[in-house]
Parts: sequence; C-alpha cells; structure tokens
Amino acid sequence: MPDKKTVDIVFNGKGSEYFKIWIVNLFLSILTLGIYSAWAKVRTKRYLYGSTSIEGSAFEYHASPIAILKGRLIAFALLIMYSVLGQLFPLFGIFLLILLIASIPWIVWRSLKFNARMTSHRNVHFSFNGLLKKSYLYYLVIPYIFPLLISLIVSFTYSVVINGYQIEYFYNYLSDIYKFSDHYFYETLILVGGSVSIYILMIPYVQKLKMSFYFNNISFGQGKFSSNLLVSKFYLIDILTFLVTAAVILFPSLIAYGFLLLSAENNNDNINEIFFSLLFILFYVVMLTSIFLSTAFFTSKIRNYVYSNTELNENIGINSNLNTWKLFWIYLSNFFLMIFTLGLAYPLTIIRKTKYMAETVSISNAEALSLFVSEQEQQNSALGEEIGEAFDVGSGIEF
Amino acid sequence: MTLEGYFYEPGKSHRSLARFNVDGIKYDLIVSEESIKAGVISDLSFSERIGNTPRKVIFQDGSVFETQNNNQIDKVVSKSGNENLISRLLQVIENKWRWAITSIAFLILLGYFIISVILPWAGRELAYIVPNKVNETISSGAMGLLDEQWFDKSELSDDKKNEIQESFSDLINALPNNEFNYKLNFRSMNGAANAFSLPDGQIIITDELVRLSENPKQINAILLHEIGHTHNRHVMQQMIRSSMISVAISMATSDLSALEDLIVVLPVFLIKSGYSQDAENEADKYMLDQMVRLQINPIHFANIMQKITQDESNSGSNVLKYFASHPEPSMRVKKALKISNEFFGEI
Repeated sequence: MPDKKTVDIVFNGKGSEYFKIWIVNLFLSILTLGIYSAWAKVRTKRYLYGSTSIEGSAFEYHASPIAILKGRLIAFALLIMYSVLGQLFPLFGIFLLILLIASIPWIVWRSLKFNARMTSHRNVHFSFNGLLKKSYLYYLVIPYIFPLLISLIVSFTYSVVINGYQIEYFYNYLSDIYKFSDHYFYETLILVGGSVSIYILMIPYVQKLKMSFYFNNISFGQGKFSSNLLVSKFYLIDILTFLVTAAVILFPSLIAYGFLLLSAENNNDNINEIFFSLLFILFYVVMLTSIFLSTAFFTSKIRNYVYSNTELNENIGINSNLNTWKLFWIYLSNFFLMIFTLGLAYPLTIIRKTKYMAETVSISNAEALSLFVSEQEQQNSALGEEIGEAFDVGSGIEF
Repeated sequence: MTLEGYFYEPGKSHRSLARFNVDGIKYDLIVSEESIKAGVISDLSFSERIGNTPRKVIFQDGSVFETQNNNQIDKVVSKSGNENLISRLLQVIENKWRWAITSIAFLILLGYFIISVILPWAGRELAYIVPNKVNETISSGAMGLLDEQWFDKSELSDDKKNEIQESFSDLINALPNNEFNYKLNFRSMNGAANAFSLPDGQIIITDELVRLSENPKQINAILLHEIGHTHNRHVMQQMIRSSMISVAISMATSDLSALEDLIVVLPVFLIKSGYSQDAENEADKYMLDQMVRLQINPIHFANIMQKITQDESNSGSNVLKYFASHPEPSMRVKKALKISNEFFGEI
C-alpha cells in the first residue's frame, strides 16, 4: 500500500460565538411566534457545518429557510386537519393515523434526500439515492409488519390445531380473539407476546439494515460511499449495551436492597427518613448513569464500527475513534451544565458534543477528495422534499 | 486589499490556493501568479456571515473563492452594494454581547409578563367558558379519588348533620344567582379540620371542623369561603394555567428535551403557591361581601379561624393543614374583624 495521508476532521465552533447566535435565534423565534425558527434552524446548521472542516475546507449547509418554513407550514396544517377531523369523525381519525404511519418511510426517505442534497464540501454536494421501496422495507415491513404477520400465523395455527378453530373463519379470527380474549387467552398471548419478542430480537438486524441503506446509497458528487457491515457485530454491541445498562442498574439496587433489609430491623423514624431521601438520590443517580453510560457505549461502538467499515469511492477511508468514557463524561457534564445554568449553557453543550464527535473522525487518503464533481441535476430540490425535514422523524442514523 | 483562500471551478472539489485582490470597485483573482478572473465587485455574490465560518465569493460562472477572512470580506460586501440589509442586521446582533444580553433580558421579561399577566387573564376568561358538564366530570372524578385516598365516612350524628344541612340550604337559597348546584358532604379526614370545594359546587366539610365550631354561623362562614372558590372558578383557572404552561414550554423548547421535565414542573409549582394566595383573598372577599349582605356578622369567621389556628398549633403534624396554602390567618382575622366593626359595631 502506498503511503496515504490521514487527516483528522477539525471543529472550530466556539461556545461563546454559538451562544450569541443561539440566543438571538431564540429571541427572534419567540418574537415572530415561531416563524423565524426556520431561519434559526438554517443558521444553526450553517454554523455547525461551517465550523467542521477537513484540511481547511469546511462543510456547508444550503437549505433555504423559506423551503423549511413551507414544509413546516404544510406539516402544521396537516396536524391541525388531523386533530380537527379526528375529533369530528373518530373513525376517520383512525384512518388518518394509519395513513400517517404508512407515510413514515416516505417521510424518512424524503428527509434523508433533503439533508444530503443540502450538504456540500469543497464545492461538491452530497446526494442520497436510496429507493423508496427499500425505505418501506426497512422502516415498516421488516420491523413491524413481519413480526405481526409471523405471530398472527403461529397464533392462528395454534388455535386451529389445539382449539379446533375453523380454518374458514380466518377473516373473523382477529375480531374473535379481540371480543373473547378470555377464551382465546393463549392465542392473544402468542399474538401480542410473539410480535413484541420478534420485534425486540430483530432490533440489531433492523439497525444494521438502516445503516447499510444509508451508507450504501449516499454519494459525494459522482463518488459513492460503500459500507460493508456484519449483522453479528450489531447483535454483539446491542447485547453488550444491554449488559452495561443492567450492571449499572443492578449493582446499586443490590446495595439499596441490603439497606432496606437493615432499616426494616431497626424501626427508627429519623433514620428511615434520611435513608429514604438517600435512596431517592441514589435512584436518580443510577437512572442518569445508566442512560448516559449505555447511550455513550452504544453510540461509540456503533459509530466506530460503521465509520471504520465505510469508504468513499473505494479509495478514501473513514475512521472513527470515539471513547465510551469520554463520551459519557461529555453527556454527564453537559447535563449538569444545563441544570446549573437553567438551560443557558445549551449552546456550549452542543459545541462540546459536536466537537468531540467530529474530531474523533479521520479521513485517510484525503488528497483524493479533490477529484469529485457535483452532479448537476442534484441541485434542484424535488417538490415536497422539505416536508420530510419538518416532521423530524428519527431515521435511526446519526451522521 | 488582498484576501487569501481557495479557488474552486464550478461544481468541482479540486481546490487551488488563490489570492483575491480588491482595488476600489475592481477585483482580480490570482491563481499560481496568474490572473484568471477580473471584473467589478457588484457582479459577485457573497455567502452570509455566520460566526466565523468560512465565506464564499461566487462568481457569475458559478466558480467559487472561499476564504476565512471574514472581516475583509465584510468590507468588500458593503462596497459591492449587494448587501442584504436583513442579513447585515442579523450579523451585527449575532456578534455583539450586548445584543445577547438584551435578548436574555427580554426573554426573562417576556416570561414574567406571560406568567403574571397573560396566563391569569387567559385562565380567567377561559374558566368561565368551560361548560358545566366539564366541571361535573372533573368533580366526580376528584371526589372518587379523594374518598379513596384521604377521606373516611363522617362519624357525626344524623341530628348534627341535619342541623348543618338546614342552615346550609337556607344560606344557599339566600345567595344571588346560583349557577351551581351547591351540595354539602360530610367526611372525616384523620382528625384534620378542613373544608374543600369542587368546581361543580360540591363542598366537603370534615368532622373535626364541625366539632371545632361553636355555632352554625361559623360553619356558614367557612362554607361561604368555599362557595367563593367555586363561584370564582378557582380550580378551573388553575388547571387551565398549568396546562397552558406545560404546552407552551414543550412547544418552545422542543430541542431542550433534557431539561423539559424540570422546567415544566418548576413554574407550575411556583405559580400554584403564588396563585393560591390571590384565590384565597378573592374567596374571602366573596365570603365577607355575602356575610354583610345576609347580615351575618363576620366575627363568626374570625372566631372559627382562631379556633382552627389553635387546634393546628396543638395537634402538630396533621396530614393536610387548612392553612397550608392560605394567607397568614391573623391578617384574615383582622380583615373580618374590621368589617365586623364597620357594619355591626363593637360587640
């Protein structure tokens, strides 16, 4: 292998600088009853993107505030329509809810396209070319419809074989077990318990599918990203995350249980009062620690794994070197910064987190970044693409 | 003036070190000692300044010059005449600490104004619009919960109850425009002397309070105070205000989710204790007005108040104290005595 230059991503954002932008954004958003929030969002993103650079060339965010405002207004109108119609015609409300759930993959797909297209580096735009039907597969069919369908089939088969349910009444099966849930106890258990357990067991697999979907369909100019991810790695990371969380919760709980046994023995009211306030504090600390530690663990492991197995144009490598404890410290200290400043430190917490997340990424063979060309048709945003942005649905991918 | 930076051809990621010279209204761009572009600056467009992030000069053919030198570029932009006034204004206020501090001060003032003026006003207006059906639904739910959690059956004798009920219905009949169907309920609450009113006109009085009272007029004084709460829709006002705060905060801080719970709980708590004082004073005012109108001497209120105060200082830690959220009792006694003197003369 020839000697390739590896460079770190640099983040130049400053808490004090971002604070001024943030507070003015907040002020104007309130003053204009939320209309300015579209401009606020664009300015925030432009600041954070513009502060992130590779070898002196920064990223850039291009979305126009008007487009974002338009998307938000449409989303707002839909929401009003949903709540008014849902109140007047409850049945129609359910129909609209199903419609909303069915459109989530479309919304995710739209927002992935929008955000990629609105991002550029060195004068060249990113783009996302994933197919809509894949989005439906990964965001609706595999995580939700598949577990439901499997457990429905198993539950129905059980009913037919064990309980002698007539096969030809298949169309009434769901309403029957809903109406006579006492009689069809095991059928209901299989249906509900089955779909929930299949859903949970498939979480790592679905995470892998979503990450692969994103990192194999995003392009930088004419150059394509490709990502080779193993599902076994996701299962490993998820199980370890679960164990970390369990350990953080279990250990102090055991201590608390021991104290509880002790306090049951001596019936002193004063000691009990102190003890219970201590227990309450302990509970709070454990809850925070487990949330922050498991999030830090999961984020760093997944991000390191996914980035390190992703490359651009088959010659530019990406590497991420997040450390669980450092990330945990940032989460924890950010939380206390927020508490002690009544939220005023919010910009500082964002800068600290973004800086650490950005500066642990490095790019190998960075010279090759000069060989890309924007694809012309990408520049024009398709109609309605900004709606995806407005709904702010989690895509399960943090970039 | 000369600016250092990178030059990009349209849509290409290849960059070359470049110098951008501006002389008056003319510019030229130099890449590897060779002038590749020249013209007048009014033909150029410029990206907006945000913090100290890199700026772009965009040429008419779509090629780009990128530089970190924000201050110099600002001068070029203002000279070019292509300056967007709004973005210039934003750039100024985003850069100055005094504007940031002004924003903070304004936000605090606005928050104070909303909490102390807008919300009470809206709560008052809306509380009178709420249909009675809602009041009834809430009250029956609350009554069920109270019976489950706090109350036991009254242990008063039927004679005593009938006596109080009779004087209560006389009182109700004497009140002007009854929009509510007032009803009196007897309960016991672990020996605590207390009285409650629900938004639909149900009033609860505890055995201990009946026992402390020396005559039905004292009980009527307390009941008039409770009717004052219902009459002025205090519970509904408080509920509307709390829910409006929660909704407003979750809307405004949609990206502050970590703090959300804390922020939501805090003002609700603060307002609750601030609001109750006003509500109690308003209910007292209603009571005293009606007492004067019905020729009941407010001295009875002063007397029962003193009884309750003594009782609470004797019994120590009761579960719910009548005065927990009430204004200083001696102030209320004084007010009642003053009115008693004015209208009924010295006793």
